[in-house]
Amino acid sequence: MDDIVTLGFIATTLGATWRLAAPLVYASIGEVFSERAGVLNIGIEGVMLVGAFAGFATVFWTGSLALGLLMAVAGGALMGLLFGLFTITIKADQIVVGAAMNLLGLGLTAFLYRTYFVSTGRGVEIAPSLNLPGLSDLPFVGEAFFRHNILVYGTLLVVIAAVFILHRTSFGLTLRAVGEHPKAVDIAGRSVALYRYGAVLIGCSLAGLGGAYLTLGHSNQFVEGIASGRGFIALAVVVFARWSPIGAFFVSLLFGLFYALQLQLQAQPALHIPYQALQALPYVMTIAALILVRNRVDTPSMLGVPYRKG
Amino acid sequence: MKLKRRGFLAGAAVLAVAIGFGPAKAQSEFKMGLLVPGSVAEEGWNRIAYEALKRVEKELGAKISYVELHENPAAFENAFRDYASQGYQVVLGHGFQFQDAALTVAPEFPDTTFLISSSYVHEGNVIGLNTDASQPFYLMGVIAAKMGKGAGLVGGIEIPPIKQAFEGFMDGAKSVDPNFPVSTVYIGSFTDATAAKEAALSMISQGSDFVVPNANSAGLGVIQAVREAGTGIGTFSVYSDYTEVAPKNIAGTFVADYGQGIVRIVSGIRDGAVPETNVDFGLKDEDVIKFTYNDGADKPVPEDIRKYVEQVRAKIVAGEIQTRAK
Repeated sequence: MDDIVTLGFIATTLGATWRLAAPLVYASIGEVFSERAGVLNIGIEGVMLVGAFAGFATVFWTGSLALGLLMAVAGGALMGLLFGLFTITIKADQIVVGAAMNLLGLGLTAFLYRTYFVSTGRGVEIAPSLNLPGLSDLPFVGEAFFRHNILVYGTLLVVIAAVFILHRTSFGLTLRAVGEHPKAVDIAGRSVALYRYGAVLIGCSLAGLGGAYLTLGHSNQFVEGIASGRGFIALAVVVFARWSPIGAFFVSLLFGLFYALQLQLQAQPALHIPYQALQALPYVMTIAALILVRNRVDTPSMLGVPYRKG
Repeated sequence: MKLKRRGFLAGAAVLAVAIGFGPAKAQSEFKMGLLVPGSVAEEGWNRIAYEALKRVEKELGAKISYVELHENPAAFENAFRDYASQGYQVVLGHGFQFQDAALTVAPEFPDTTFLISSSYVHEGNVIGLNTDASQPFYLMGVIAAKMGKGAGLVGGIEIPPIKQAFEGFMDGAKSVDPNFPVSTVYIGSFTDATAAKEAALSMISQGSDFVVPNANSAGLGVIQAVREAGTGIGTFSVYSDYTEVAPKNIAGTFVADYGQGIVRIVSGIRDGAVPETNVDFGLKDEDVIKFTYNDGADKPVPEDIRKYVEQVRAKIVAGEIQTRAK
């Protein structure tokens, strides 16, 4: 046991934690926007897949990482537009449409991948790790914090931007009001539908970016179903984080830590913990989170409720 | 009464036709039927059987037919019976799940051979076909232990073919050095390339210099981690040839051409040589299980190790080394 918890082990685990948390950060902060405006989008798994594929395909054909990220965001936004059309304009049940989004994302990306990419395993160039002079070469902290790529560091930017937009701008205030008391917003002369569209588009764009992280910031491949349940974990992160962007960032890190730990510990032949128990860790965490955080005070009052005028 | 008599007459007529013309026709035409559990349009398991069937048609001039049954066990027996009663000499049930239905139907049709994929069965005319990945993995274990300091195995889900392959690898490594460290991670998915890559990265940081995937397409994450780790780290390409993904790191490639195995067995049956045991494709079947080296790797497998591996291979083929618990 002694040789397991070394500085090197901790550094590797922390590095892996941030890398594994990054897609959750993007997707869950996106979902915070959406849910704060009262729209529960359980379809982000499907949106992530679209982002992952759109980003991969673009970089595969053009070689431009920036264009790939842009297309991933655009792909996510397009899915958001579709989701908004059904849930905000047509006022269909958000859960049902969300489930349909997941199926659409999985089916569409698998279809397009098989149609246009022969599965030779040929990948793309992923975002390179940044070499920060001085910092990257530091022992311990260098590996843990300073050898990541721009998409990992981007999570910091997203959380700061999210806090600023939600809590320091008029747009953010109105957006939150739409989730709490849409009628008041309506009476104040602002369009509830428009704000909800805005929130869903931001949410799905970020989910698309989270998906693109998988194919452009981590693996260099698209694999059918590569999101592998991260969209659903992100939903749990949002609840656990009490609909706060900062909370979502840290809860994502916590999930990333458990994910990294289970992979690291499985690889220790000396430890005789059944690997199934380790594999279940992130999911046990999810259940624990939902049990512990049963106080619904922070839940947006109108979460999941379509707004009808009059 | 009328109906019954009509039915009897019709039955007698069919019987007369069957007795009169049946055997002559069967001799002139060789027919193979296929039962698949899903769509043959998709890449993967079902497609492999379909491609094999097409090769049987092309190479053996057989008349072929297939049926997609999805998860409908109730239809399995009927499908077998349909083909067998139409005089199909070979019917392949592509998957272990077809075994029970074949065993039920087979005694009624002694002239038909029922092949079952992923099965070790051999009862009368029901014959299991299997590819034994533990043999090539044993060779990989030998190579890793000869060349490296430690190895990591990244599996998708702990299912028998993957578990047996990994046990083969460990036995191979231990045959060279009983203390050679081999660690195993199951990522719990066949799609999560991200987790596979992280698992490989953690193994590399813990001192493994060979990391080998067995997780379908998620395994690409492992290949990528190895490629990024650079020249000191090696891997093997498993089931598909991914040499061009990491040309400097892949020491060898194991590919299983199950379709070729099916064509060979079916051609044997056509010529009257029905297998007398269940069929377990291994290193002895060089047309099916191919293990090749990558000479372009940064650290190609040295000549003396290749010679040693050749000896091990010969022992496995001769049955002197068991790579899998029976």
